[in-house]
Amino acid sequence: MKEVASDLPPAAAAPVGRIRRWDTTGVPLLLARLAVGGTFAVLALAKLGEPVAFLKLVRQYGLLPEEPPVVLNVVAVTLPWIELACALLLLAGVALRGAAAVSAGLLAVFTYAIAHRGLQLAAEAGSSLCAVAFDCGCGSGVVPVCPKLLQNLLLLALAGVVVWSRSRRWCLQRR
Amino acid sequence: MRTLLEMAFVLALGTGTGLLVNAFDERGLQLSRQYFPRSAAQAGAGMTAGAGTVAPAATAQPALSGAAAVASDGPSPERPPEEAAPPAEAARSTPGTASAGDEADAAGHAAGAGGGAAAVAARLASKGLTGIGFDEAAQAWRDPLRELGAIVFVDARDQAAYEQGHIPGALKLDFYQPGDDLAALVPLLPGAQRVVVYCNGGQCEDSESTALLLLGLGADPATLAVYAGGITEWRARGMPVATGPFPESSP
Repeated sequence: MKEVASDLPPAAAAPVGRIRRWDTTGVPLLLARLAVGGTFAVLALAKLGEPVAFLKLVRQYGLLPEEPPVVLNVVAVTLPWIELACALLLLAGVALRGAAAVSAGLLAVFTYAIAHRGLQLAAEAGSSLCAVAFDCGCGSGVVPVCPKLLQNLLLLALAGVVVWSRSRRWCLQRR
Repeated sequence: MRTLLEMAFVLALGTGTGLLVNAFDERGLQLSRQYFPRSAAQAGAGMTAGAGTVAPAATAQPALSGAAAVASDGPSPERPPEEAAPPAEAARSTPGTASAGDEADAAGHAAGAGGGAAAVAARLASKGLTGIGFDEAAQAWRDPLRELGAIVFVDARDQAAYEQGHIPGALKLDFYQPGDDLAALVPLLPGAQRVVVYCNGGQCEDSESTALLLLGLGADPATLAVYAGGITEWRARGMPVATGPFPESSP
Protein backbone atom coordinates (compact mmCIF):
# COMPACT_ATOMS: atom_id res chain seq x y z
CA MET A 1 0.00 0.00 0.00
CA LYS A 2 1.77 3.14 -1.10
CA GLU A 3 1.43 6.43 0.63
CA VAL A 4 -0.20 8.72 -1.86
CA ALA A 5 0.24 12.04 -0.19
CA SER A 6 0.58 14.10 -3.31
CA ASP A 7 -0.77 12.44 -6.42
CA LEU A 8 -3.76 14.72 -6.54
CA PRO A 9 -5.19 15.69 -9.92
CA PRO A 10 -4.34 19.18 -11.15
CA ALA A 11 -7.95 20.32 -10.74
CA ALA A 12 -7.66 20.24 -6.99
CA ALA A 13 -10.48 22.72 -6.69
CA ALA A 14 -12.90 19.83 -7.30
CA PRO A 15 -14.70 18.79 -4.07
CA VAL A 16 -13.16 15.33 -3.96
CA GLY A 17 -9.73 16.82 -4.38
CA ARG A 18 -10.35 19.21 -1.55
CA ILE A 19 -11.45 16.43 0.75
CA ARG A 20 -8.41 14.38 -0.15
CA ARG A 21 -6.19 17.34 0.53
CA TRP A 22 -7.77 17.78 3.89
CA ASP A 23 -7.07 14.11 4.54
CA THR A 24 -3.37 14.50 3.83
CA THR A 25 -3.08 16.81 6.80
CA GLY A 26 -3.73 13.74 8.93
CA VAL A 27 -6.21 15.65 11.07
CA PRO A 28 -9.43 13.94 10.05
CA LEU A 29 -7.72 10.59 10.48
CA LEU A 30 -6.42 11.47 13.91
CA LEU A 31 -9.78 12.73 15.12
CA ALA A 32 -11.51 9.62 13.86
CA ARG A 33 -8.89 7.36 15.42
CA LEU A 34 -9.18 9.09 18.76
CA ALA A 35 -12.96 8.99 18.73
CA VAL A 36 -13.35 5.35 17.76
CA GLY A 37 -10.23 4.08 19.54
CA GLY A 38 -10.92 6.07 22.67
CA THR A 39 -14.55 5.01 22.91
CA PHE A 40 -13.74 1.37 22.27
CA ALA A 41 -10.96 1.43 24.86
CA VAL A 42 -13.12 2.89 27.61
CA LEU A 43 -16.06 0.60 26.95
CA ALA A 44 -13.91 -2.51 26.53
CA LEU A 45 -12.12 -1.90 29.83
CA ALA A 46 -15.47 -1.60 31.57
CA LYS A 47 -16.41 -5.05 30.34
CA LEU A 48 -13.16 -6.90 30.81
CA GLY A 49 -13.44 -7.44 34.52
CA GLU A 50 -16.96 -8.89 34.52
CA PRO A 51 -17.16 -11.92 32.21
CA VAL A 52 -20.26 -13.38 33.84
CA ALA A 53 -22.22 -10.14 33.64
CA PHE A 54 -21.20 -9.68 30.01
CA LEU A 55 -22.20 -13.25 29.21
CA LYS A 56 -25.70 -12.58 30.51
CA LEU A 57 -25.93 -9.38 28.51
CA VAL A 58 -24.84 -11.04 25.27
CA ARG A 59 -27.39 -13.79 25.85
CA GLN A 60 -30.29 -11.35 26.25
CA TYR A 61 -30.16 -10.51 22.55
CA GLY A 62 -31.09 -14.04 21.63
CA LEU A 63 -29.01 -13.71 18.45
CA LEU A 64 -26.58 -16.47 19.33
CA PRO A 65 -27.52 -20.10 19.95
CA GLU A 66 -27.41 -21.30 23.55
CA GLU A 67 -26.48 -24.78 22.42
CA PRO A 68 -23.63 -25.67 22.20
CA PRO A 69 -22.70 -23.38 25.12
CA VAL A 70 -19.18 -22.83 23.78
CA VAL A 71 -20.50 -20.39 21.15
CA LEU A 72 -21.95 -17.92 23.63
CA ASN A 73 -19.08 -18.44 26.07
CA VAL A 74 -16.33 -17.81 23.51
CA VAL A 75 -18.07 -14.70 22.19
CA ALA A 76 -18.52 -13.36 25.71
CA VAL A 77 -14.87 -14.03 26.53
CA THR A 78 -13.27 -12.69 23.35
CA LEU A 79 -15.46 -9.78 22.29
CA PRO A 80 -14.21 -7.23 24.85
CA TRP A 81 -10.63 -8.18 24.00
CA ILE A 82 -11.20 -7.80 20.28
CA GLU A 83 -12.62 -4.36 21.02
CA LEU A 84 -9.57 -3.52 23.09
CA ALA A 85 -7.25 -4.75 20.35
CA CYS A 86 -9.05 -2.51 17.84
CA ALA A 87 -8.81 0.41 20.23
CA LEU A 88 -5.09 0.06 20.89
CA LEU A 89 -4.25 -0.43 17.22
CA LEU A 90 -6.33 2.58 16.22
CA LEU A 91 -4.74 4.75 18.86
CA ALA A 92 -1.24 3.57 18.01
CA GLY A 93 -1.78 3.73 14.28
CA VAL A 94 -0.82 0.14 13.51
CA ALA A 95 -2.68 -2.12 11.07
CA LEU A 96 -4.99 0.84 10.77
CA ARG A 97 -7.24 -0.19 7.93
CA GLY A 98 -7.72 -3.65 9.33
CA ALA A 99 -8.46 -2.39 12.81
CA ALA A 100 -10.90 0.17 11.43
CA ALA A 101 -12.58 -2.44 9.27
CA VAL A 102 -13.05 -4.77 12.22
CA SER A 103 -14.31 -1.87 14.32
CA ALA A 104 -16.77 -0.93 11.60
CA GLY A 105 -17.93 -4.53 11.38
CA LEU A 106 -18.44 -4.72 15.14
CA LEU A 107 -20.29 -1.43 15.18
CA ALA A 108 -22.57 -2.55 12.37
CA VAL A 109 -23.41 -5.78 14.21
CA PHE A 110 -23.91 -3.96 17.54
CA THR A 111 -26.16 -1.35 15.95
CA TYR A 112 -28.30 -4.03 14.36
CA ALA A 113 -28.49 -6.01 17.62
CA ILE A 114 -29.37 -2.99 19.75
CA ALA A 115 -32.01 -1.83 17.28
CA HIS A 116 -33.47 -5.34 17.07
CA ARG A 117 -33.62 -5.71 20.83
CA GLY A 118 -34.91 -2.20 21.31
CA LEU A 119 -37.77 -2.87 18.91
CA GLN A 120 -38.55 -6.13 20.73
CA LEU A 121 -38.72 -4.35 24.06
CA ALA A 122 -40.74 -1.50 22.62
CA ALA A 123 -43.27 -3.93 21.18
CA GLU A 124 -43.66 -5.68 24.53
CA ALA A 125 -44.02 -2.51 26.53
CA GLY A 126 -46.24 -1.02 23.86
CA SER A 127 -44.04 2.05 23.69
CA SER A 128 -42.02 3.73 20.97
CA LEU A 129 -38.43 2.71 20.30
CA CYS A 130 -36.96 5.86 21.80
CA ALA A 131 -38.75 5.30 25.11
CA VAL A 132 -36.85 2.07 25.69
CA ALA A 133 -33.74 1.89 27.83
CA PHE A 134 -31.78 -1.26 28.64
CA ASP A 135 -28.31 -2.47 29.47
CA CYS A 136 -26.95 -3.18 26.02
CA GLY A 137 -23.74 -4.68 27.34
CA CYS A 138 -21.85 -1.79 25.81
CA GLY A 139 -20.03 -1.09 29.04
CA SER A 140 -22.10 1.94 29.96
CA GLY A 141 -24.91 0.34 31.92
CA VAL A 142 -28.58 0.96 31.19
CA VAL A 143 -28.86 3.46 28.34
CA PRO A 144 -31.71 4.85 26.27
CA VAL A 145 -31.75 3.16 22.89
CA CYS A 146 -32.00 6.04 20.43
CA PRO A 147 -28.98 8.06 21.61
CA LYS A 148 -26.99 4.83 21.73
CA LEU A 149 -27.94 3.98 18.14
CA LEU A 150 -26.97 7.48 16.98
CA GLN A 151 -23.66 7.23 18.80
CA ASN A 152 -22.98 3.89 17.15
CA LEU A 153 -23.81 5.20 13.69
CA LEU A 154 -21.52 8.17 14.22
CA LEU A 155 -18.68 5.90 15.31
CA LEU A 156 -19.38 3.66 12.34
CA ALA A 157 -19.00 6.64 10.03
CA LEU A 158 -15.77 7.65 11.74
CA ALA A 159 -14.43 4.10 11.42
CA GLY A 160 -15.25 4.46 7.75
CA VAL A 161 -13.17 7.63 7.66
CA VAL A 162 -10.19 5.68 9.00
CA VAL A 163 -10.67 2.96 6.39
CA TRP A 164 -10.94 5.53 3.61
CA SER A 165 -8.05 7.72 4.73
CA ARG A 166 -4.73 7.47 2.93
CA SER A 167 -2.82 9.45 5.49
CA ARG A 168 -0.58 7.79 8.01
CA ARG A 169 0.42 10.85 9.93
CA TRP A 170 0.93 10.41 13.65
CA CYS A 171 0.89 6.64 13.22
CA LEU A 172 3.44 4.17 14.45
CA GLN A 173 3.08 2.28 11.20
CA ARG A 174 3.61 4.71 8.38
CA ARG A 175 3.33 2.46 5.39
CA MET B 1 -5.11 -8.24 0.25
CA ARG B 2 -3.40 -6.33 2.97
CA THR B 3 -6.48 -5.07 4.72
CA LEU B 4 -7.80 -8.62 5.07
CA LEU B 5 -4.53 -9.70 6.60
CA GLU B 6 -4.68 -6.81 9.02
CA MET B 7 -8.24 -7.72 9.96
CA ALA B 8 -7.20 -11.31 10.54
CA PHE B 9 -4.38 -10.03 12.71
CA VAL B 10 -6.70 -7.88 14.80
CA LEU B 11 -9.18 -10.70 15.31
CA ALA B 12 -6.46 -13.18 16.15
CA LEU B 13 -4.89 -10.77 18.60
CA GLY B 14 -8.14 -10.11 20.39
CA THR B 15 -9.35 -13.70 20.39
CA GLY B 16 -6.00 -15.12 21.46
CA THR B 17 -5.52 -12.66 24.28
CA GLY B 18 -9.08 -13.14 25.48
CA LEU B 19 -8.87 -16.92 25.57
CA LEU B 20 -5.47 -16.81 27.23
CA VAL B 21 -6.52 -14.40 29.96
CA ASN B 22 -9.72 -16.34 30.52
CA ALA B 23 -7.81 -19.56 31.05
CA PHE B 24 -5.93 -18.04 33.94
CA ASP B 25 -8.65 -15.84 35.36
CA GLU B 26 -10.33 -17.51 38.31
CA ARG B 27 -13.41 -15.47 37.60
CA GLY B 28 -13.32 -16.40 33.94
CA LEU B 29 -15.81 -18.54 32.10
CA GLN B 30 -15.56 -22.26 31.56
CA LEU B 31 -15.98 -22.48 27.81
CA SER B 32 -17.87 -25.73 27.67
CA ARG B 33 -20.18 -25.06 30.57
CA GLN B 34 -23.85 -24.36 29.95
CA TYR B 35 -24.53 -21.24 32.03
CA PHE B 36 -28.20 -21.10 31.12
CA PRO B 37 -29.48 -24.59 31.80
CA ARG B 38 -32.92 -25.79 30.90
CA SER B 39 -32.70 -28.97 32.90
CA ALA B 40 -31.12 -30.19 36.09
CA ALA B 41 -28.83 -32.47 34.10
CA GLN B 42 -27.46 -29.48 32.21
CA ALA B 43 -27.08 -27.51 35.43
CA GLY B 44 -25.04 -30.26 37.00
CA ALA B 45 -22.90 -31.08 33.98
CA GLY B 46 -20.65 -28.05 34.00
CA MET B 47 -20.32 -27.81 37.74
CA THR B 48 -18.02 -30.77 38.21
CA ALA B 49 -15.07 -28.94 36.73
CA GLY B 50 -15.82 -25.63 38.41
CA ALA B 51 -17.15 -26.42 41.85
CA GLY B 52 -14.13 -28.18 43.19
CA THR B 53 -15.57 -28.63 46.64
CA VAL B 54 -18.49 -30.90 45.87
CA ALA B 55 -18.85 -34.42 44.50
CA PRO B 56 -19.78 -34.70 40.81
CA ALA B 57 -23.31 -33.54 40.30
CA ALA B 58 -24.02 -34.98 36.90
CA THR B 59 -24.15 -38.47 38.28
CA ALA B 60 -26.91 -37.71 40.78
CA GLN B 61 -29.45 -39.12 38.39
CA PRO B 62 -31.91 -40.74 40.88
CA ALA B 63 -32.81 -37.36 42.32
CA LEU B 64 -33.55 -36.05 38.87
CA SER B 65 -36.22 -38.58 38.00
CA GLY B 66 -39.12 -36.34 38.90
CA ALA B 67 -37.76 -33.07 37.62
CA ALA B 68 -35.89 -34.45 34.67
CA ALA B 69 -38.88 -36.18 33.19
CA VAL B 70 -40.64 -32.84 32.99
CA ALA B 71 -37.73 -30.52 32.40
CA SER B 72 -35.37 -32.25 30.06
CA ASP B 73 -36.69 -32.08 26.57
CA GLY B 74 -33.07 -32.81 25.85
CA PRO B 75 -30.27 -30.28 25.56
CA SER B 76 -30.13 -30.31 21.77
CA PRO B 77 -33.58 -29.17 20.64
CA GLU B 78 -33.70 -26.40 23.17
CA ARG B 79 -35.57 -23.95 21.03
CA PRO B 80 -38.86 -25.88 20.60
CA PRO B 81 -39.90 -25.78 24.26
CA GLU B 82 -39.20 -22.05 24.32
CA GLU B 83 -40.87 -21.29 21.05
CA ALA B 84 -43.92 -23.31 21.96
CA ALA B 85 -44.56 -20.67 24.60
CA PRO B 86 -44.15 -17.27 22.92
CA PRO B 87 -45.08 -15.38 26.09
CA ALA B 88 -42.16 -17.04 27.82
CA GLU B 89 -39.84 -15.93 25.05
CA ALA B 90 -41.20 -12.41 25.13
CA ALA B 91 -40.95 -12.17 28.88
CA ARG B 92 -37.40 -13.36 28.83
CA SER B 93 -36.39 -10.48 26.64
CA THR B 94 -37.87 -7.75 28.82
CA PRO B 95 -35.08 -5.68 30.35
CA GLY B 96 -33.57 -7.03 33.48
CA THR B 97 -32.22 -10.49 32.83
CA ALA B 98 -28.66 -9.58 33.04
CA SER B 99 -27.79 -6.20 34.44
CA ALA B 100 -25.10 -6.22 37.04
CA GLY B 101 -27.26 -3.99 39.23
CA ASP B 102 -30.73 -4.17 40.61
CA GLU B 103 -32.25 -1.30 38.65
CA ALA B 104 -32.65 -3.06 35.33
CA ASP B 105 -34.11 -6.15 36.96
CA ALA B 106 -36.53 -4.01 38.90
CA ALA B 107 -37.48 -2.15 35.76
CA GLY B 108 -38.11 -5.43 34.05
CA HIS B 109 -40.06 -6.58 37.04
CA ALA B 110 -42.29 -3.55 36.96
CA ALA B 111 -42.71 -3.53 33.21
CA GLY B 112 -43.46 -7.20 33.01
CA ALA B 113 -45.82 -7.34 35.96
CA GLY B 114 -49.02 -8.34 34.18
CA GLY B 115 -48.10 -10.59 31.30
CA GLY B 116 -44.77 -11.18 32.98
CA ALA B 117 -46.17 -13.23 35.84
CA ALA B 118 -47.81 -15.71 33.50
CA ALA B 119 -44.68 -15.85 31.39
CA VAL B 120 -42.51 -16.53 34.43
CA ALA B 121 -44.87 -19.29 35.50
CA ALA B 122 -44.67 -20.83 32.03
CA ARG B 123 -40.89 -20.66 32.08
CA LEU B 124 -40.71 -22.29 35.51
CA ALA B 125 -43.04 -25.01 34.38
CA SER B 126 -40.93 -25.69 31.30
CA LYS B 127 -37.97 -26.29 33.59
CA GLY B 128 -39.92 -28.46 35.97
CA LEU B 129 -39.72 -25.97 38.81
CA THR B 130 -42.33 -24.77 41.28
CA GLY B 131 -42.82 -21.06 41.75
CA ILE B 132 -44.20 -19.44 44.88
CA GLY B 133 -45.54 -15.99 45.47
CA PHE B 134 -44.83 -13.46 48.17
CA ASP B 135 -47.36 -14.79 50.66
CA GLU B 136 -45.92 -18.28 50.66
CA ALA B 137 -42.37 -16.96 50.83
CA ALA B 138 -43.14 -14.64 53.74
CA GLN B 139 -44.94 -17.45 55.53
CA ALA B 140 -41.96 -19.75 55.07
CA TRP B 141 -39.67 -17.03 56.35
CA ARG B 142 -41.71 -16.45 59.48
CA ASP B 143 -42.05 -20.18 60.16
CA PRO B 144 -40.06 -21.20 63.27
CA LEU B 145 -38.72 -24.16 61.27
CA ARG B 146 -36.51 -21.73 59.36
CA GLU B 147 -34.52 -20.91 62.48
CA LEU B 148 -34.05 -24.62 63.03
CA GLY B 149 -32.67 -25.09 59.53
CA ALA B 150 -35.59 -27.11 58.25
CA ILE B 151 -36.52 -24.27 55.92
CA VAL B 152 -33.65 -22.86 53.89
CA PHE B 153 -33.58 -19.67 51.82
CA VAL B 154 -31.04 -19.52 49.01
CA ASP B 155 -29.89 -16.26 47.44
CA ALA B 156 -28.89 -16.97 43.84
CA ARG B 157 -26.99 -13.73 43.25
CA ASP B 158 -23.32 -12.80 43.45
CA GLN B 159 -21.40 -11.74 46.55
CA ALA B 160 -21.73 -8.01 45.98
CA ALA B 161 -25.49 -8.12 45.47
CA TYR B 162 -25.87 -10.48 48.43
CA GLU B 163 -24.01 -8.18 50.78
CA GLN B 164 -25.95 -5.16 49.64
CA GLY B 165 -29.09 -6.78 50.93
CA HIS B 166 -30.55 -10.24 51.21
CA ILE B 167 -33.42 -12.01 52.90
CA PRO B 168 -32.25 -12.48 56.49
CA GLY B 169 -30.97 -15.98 57.10
CA ALA B 170 -30.54 -16.74 53.40
CA LEU B 171 -27.44 -18.53 52.20
CA LYS B 172 -25.72 -17.41 49.03
CA LEU B 173 -25.24 -19.71 46.07
CA ASP B 174 -23.77 -17.98 43.04
CA PHE B 175 -24.53 -20.32 40.16
CA TYR B 176 -21.84 -18.77 37.97
CA GLN B 177 -19.02 -18.82 40.49
CA PRO B 178 -20.06 -20.96 43.45
CA GLY B 179 -16.69 -21.21 45.21
CA ASP B 180 -17.32 -22.21 48.80
CA ASP B 181 -21.06 -21.65 48.67
CA LEU B 182 -21.84 -25.26 47.89
CA ALA B 183 -19.84 -26.63 50.81
CA ALA B 184 -21.96 -24.59 53.21
CA LEU B 185 -25.26 -25.31 51.56
CA VAL B 186 -25.24 -28.92 50.41
CA PRO B 187 -25.18 -30.45 53.92
CA LEU B 188 -28.41 -28.63 54.70
CA LEU B 189 -30.35 -30.07 51.78
CA PRO B 190 -31.22 -33.54 53.10
CA GLY B 191 -32.76 -32.16 56.27
CA ALA B 192 -34.69 -29.38 54.61
CA GLN B 193 -38.45 -29.50 54.35
CA ARG B 194 -38.48 -26.43 52.14
CA VAL B 195 -35.81 -24.77 50.04
CA VAL B 196 -36.75 -21.35 48.66
CA VAL B 197 -34.49 -19.95 45.94
CA TYR B 198 -34.67 -16.31 44.88
CA CYS B 199 -32.71 -13.71 42.95
CA ASN B 200 -33.62 -10.20 41.83
CA GLY B 201 -37.05 -11.15 40.68
CA GLY B 202 -38.75 -10.01 37.50
CA GLN B 203 -36.89 -11.51 34.59
CA CYS B 204 -33.91 -12.75 36.58
CA GLU B 205 -33.39 -16.41 35.73
CA ASP B 206 -30.49 -17.05 38.04
CA SER B 207 -32.79 -18.43 40.72
CA GLU B 208 -34.01 -21.02 38.24
CA SER B 209 -30.51 -22.03 37.17
CA THR B 210 -29.55 -22.35 40.82
CA ALA B 211 -32.66 -24.38 41.61
CA LEU B 212 -31.83 -26.76 38.77
CA LEU B 213 -28.33 -27.06 40.15
CA LEU B 214 -29.66 -27.95 43.59
CA LEU B 215 -31.85 -30.59 42.02
CA GLY B 216 -28.81 -32.03 40.36
CA LEU B 217 -27.04 -32.09 43.70
CA GLY B 218 -29.77 -34.17 45.26
CA ALA B 219 -32.33 -31.70 46.55
CA ASP B 220 -35.81 -33.14 46.79
CA PRO B 221 -37.95 -31.62 44.01
CA ALA B 222 -40.94 -31.60 46.33
CA THR B 223 -39.15 -29.24 48.72
CA LEU B 224 -37.69 -26.89 46.13
CA ALA B 225 -39.44 -23.67 45.21
CA VAL B 226 -38.47 -20.53 43.33
CA TYR B 227 -39.64 -17.25 44.83
CA ALA B 228 -40.32 -15.43 41.59
CA GLY B 229 -40.78 -11.98 43.12
CA GLY B 230 -37.22 -11.97 44.39
CA ILE B 231 -35.48 -9.43 46.57
CA THR B 232 -37.11 -6.59 44.66
CA GLU B 233 -40.60 -7.60 45.71
CA TRP B 234 -39.39 -8.51 49.20
CA ARG B 235 -38.08 -4.99 49.67
CA ALA B 236 -41.11 -3.38 48.03
CA ARG B 237 -43.35 -5.17 50.51
CA GLY B 238 -41.36 -3.70 53.39
CA MET B 239 -39.89 -6.96 54.60
CA PRO B 240 -36.63 -6.87 56.56
CA VAL B 241 -33.39 -7.10 54.63
CA ALA B 242 -30.02 -8.10 56.05
CA THR B 243 -26.75 -6.70 54.76
CA GLY B 244 -23.17 -7.86 54.87
CA PRO B 245 -21.73 -11.34 54.49
CA PHE B 246 -23.08 -14.48 56.10
CA PRO B 247 -23.38 -15.22 58.98
CA GLU B 248 -25.25 -12.15 60.06
CA SER B 249 -24.70 -10.68 63.47
CA SER B 250 -28.36 -9.92 64.12
CA PRO B 251 -31.17 -12.53 64.07
